[in-house]
Amino acid sequence: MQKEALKGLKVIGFVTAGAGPMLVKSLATQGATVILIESAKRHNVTRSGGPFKDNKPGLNRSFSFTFVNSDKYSMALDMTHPGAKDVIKRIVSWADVIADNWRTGVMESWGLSYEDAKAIKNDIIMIGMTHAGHTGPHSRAAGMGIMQSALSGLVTLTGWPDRPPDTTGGLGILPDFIAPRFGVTAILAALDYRRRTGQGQYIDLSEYETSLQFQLPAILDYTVNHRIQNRNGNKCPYAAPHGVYRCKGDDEWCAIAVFTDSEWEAFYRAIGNPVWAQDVKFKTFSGRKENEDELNEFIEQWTINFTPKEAMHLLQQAGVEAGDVRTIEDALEHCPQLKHRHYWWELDQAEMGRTIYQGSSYLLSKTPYQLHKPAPRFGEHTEYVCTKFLGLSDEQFTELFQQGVFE
Amino acid sequence: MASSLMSGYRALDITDAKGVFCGKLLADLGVDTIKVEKPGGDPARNIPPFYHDVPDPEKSLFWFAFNSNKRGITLNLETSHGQELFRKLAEKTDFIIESFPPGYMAGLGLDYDSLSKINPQIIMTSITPFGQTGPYSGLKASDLVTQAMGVLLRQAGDTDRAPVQTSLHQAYFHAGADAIEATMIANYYRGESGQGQHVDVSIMESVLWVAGRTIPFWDCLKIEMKRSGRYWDRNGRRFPAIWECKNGYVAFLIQGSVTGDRTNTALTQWMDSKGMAPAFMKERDWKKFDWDQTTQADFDELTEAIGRFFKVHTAEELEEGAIQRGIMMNKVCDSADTFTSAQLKARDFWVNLKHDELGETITYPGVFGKFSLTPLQIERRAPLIGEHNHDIYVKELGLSESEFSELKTQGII
Repeated sequence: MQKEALKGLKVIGFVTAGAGPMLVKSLATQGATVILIESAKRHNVTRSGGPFKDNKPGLNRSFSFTFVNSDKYSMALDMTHPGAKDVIKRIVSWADVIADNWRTGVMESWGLSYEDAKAIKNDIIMIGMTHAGHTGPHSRAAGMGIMQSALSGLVTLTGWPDRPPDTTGGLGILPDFIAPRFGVTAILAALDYRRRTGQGQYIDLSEYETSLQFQLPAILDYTVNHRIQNRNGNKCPYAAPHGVYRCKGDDEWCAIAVFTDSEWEAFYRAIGNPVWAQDVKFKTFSGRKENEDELNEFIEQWTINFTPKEAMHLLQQAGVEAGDVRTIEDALEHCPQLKHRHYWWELDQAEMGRTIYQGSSYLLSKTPYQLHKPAPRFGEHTEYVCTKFLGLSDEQFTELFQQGVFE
Repeated sequence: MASSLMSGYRALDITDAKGVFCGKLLADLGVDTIKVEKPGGDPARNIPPFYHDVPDPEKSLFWFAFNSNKRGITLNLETSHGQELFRKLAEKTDFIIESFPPGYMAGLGLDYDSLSKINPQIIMTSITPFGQTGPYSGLKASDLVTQAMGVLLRQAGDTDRAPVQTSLHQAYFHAGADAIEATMIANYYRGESGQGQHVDVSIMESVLWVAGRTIPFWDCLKIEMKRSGRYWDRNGRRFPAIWECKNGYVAFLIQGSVTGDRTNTALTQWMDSKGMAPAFMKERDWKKFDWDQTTQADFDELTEAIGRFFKVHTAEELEEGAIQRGIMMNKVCDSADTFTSAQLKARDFWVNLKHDELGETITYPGVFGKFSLTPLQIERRAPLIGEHNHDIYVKELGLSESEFSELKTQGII
């Protein structure tokens, strides 16, 4: 049996949408026991959001839910049912960490504020992730990743200066991926503090504030220089050439980045030392920057003769930073590096069959991770969790079940 | 410091731009983080923008942003004396964060295997474009190139132009955030087992993770989600995600299911109160509104009506009105909007740090989260080149003053 980094850690997730499940995803992947508390009345929107297996809707058939929920247990519980009180108490007593991403006030309405939880378990660690934080005039505002992309400045800085801003890559919802990493970091740092001092605490995490951490130099440019940065295509203020160039084929592209004069020399040699490259105006960085649009046109006259992979390999061999602009299919089917690191996983779920899961972006030398179980079906583990983890007897479970506590 | 979250821990940060964000986050958590630069300073000090636009290694705002809360020393790792000093530092260190090409640290005798022999508890986190091993491990890749190879690049931009990068340095930031998460996972395991380990982060995979929202569409429908400007494109039907308004842009989505019912109903009522809701919106049963059953003509009609309403309101009016009505919508903000945000002000987000050598106090964005018992703090501006050499080498490592001067003469620090 391999060691798992977080084995023994117990986590409860009152989570919804895309970001919530990701707040506890890495913990599950690295070996923690993670239980999702789900409600049929208020089910996770990604369970009903599709796309669905065979285009047939169903709570257990949505790919948008499954791809971020491997290795978790699902327990169905009607939080508003009077009979749920004892179960909730048992859940809190069992857990090291409670994570939620409901709007401010929802956990309180269920009698599960941090104070409520602390009264049950004094050293509990609790994290609440919301759109803009649990305090302030917008504490009750809700938002999805795309709104936080807009709010934090990511959208303004993405696209072409002569056109409206574009949504960012990843369907524009990057903050849904940004905030959870800070959440996992916060949870683990708080656990470390608890290990050393015996004290738990509450973490108030704002998707807005975490996304701003990805904008620091632009914000300082404003607070210091009063400059409002704007989107600038693929340019980079300290590199030229720096862009995405059309290659042979339909919608095929290669990214190239040249920072230093020696990289520039390596670059023009690699593309066959063309006459235009000898022009004195391209000799220095400032000259290349001043004439960047013209430079880019010359470069595209070269790249158009090659496939992105050919261009990438020719340039990489010369020590130039270059890469082909890939599709999901390229990454899934044709990337030897991802294969080498065993990035992709396939897990078999009862209603959907085999589906694709992403692995982890990092490998730990002594505690390799493994994806074991596909995303749970709705309420798949309700009885198992109650009887195996929460200490309910079979009779107690049946009685609560008949009362409708588990929906 | 009273009760900092991770006081008592120490980190050595020997990263360049690829890993500097991870070091900053360790420092913000309260780890005593020492930035180790080559003599003369790290190349990341030359990254713009600069204080008052004056290029100077002591004035890079990029450097300021990602090195606050750290102390700084210089050390030439390519000399044997420098390596010996680094090993001494590593004996009393909990974390090392590095971003050299794979194999470089081994060439210096400073890789995880070597250092773990003198300090078995050490955690070393390596941040590289593709990871430590494998067919791509020797390739070079900038932020833009890892965005390209990590699929994210193809997903942003206008259809009639090249794919476009998401903001600047996003790939490195995603990897930095993954690296801090991974480092804290290794730290948890060390707390349980007493053992350190090597953490191997791939920037391309960090990017691919955030591009992954499109994988369900490929896995299920074999649809490759293509860049579509400011629109959302789903199953061939398009509607805006970023909308023009009177003085700029707002982000809003026409949604389905439970969320759609709430927001579309509220928006229709709001538009109606201004006499701008067409009959087809008022008569629609939003409970039954379903993306997949909605035609492009339906979307176009809706887009036209909603767009007309947005065009006569400012982004500020729309955002405030939306929040009051439980509609999800935000202004497309720039840094000036960020700086004047009432929400951030109410949460005491901003931090002022003194830069005595500039004769100025600079306002910085604050920490990433609020901890009830051990609030995170940003207390120290980024170090000057070699600012803490004397503190570390003489006061902590116990070198004599003459040994210390010798290091300087030999160009080791």
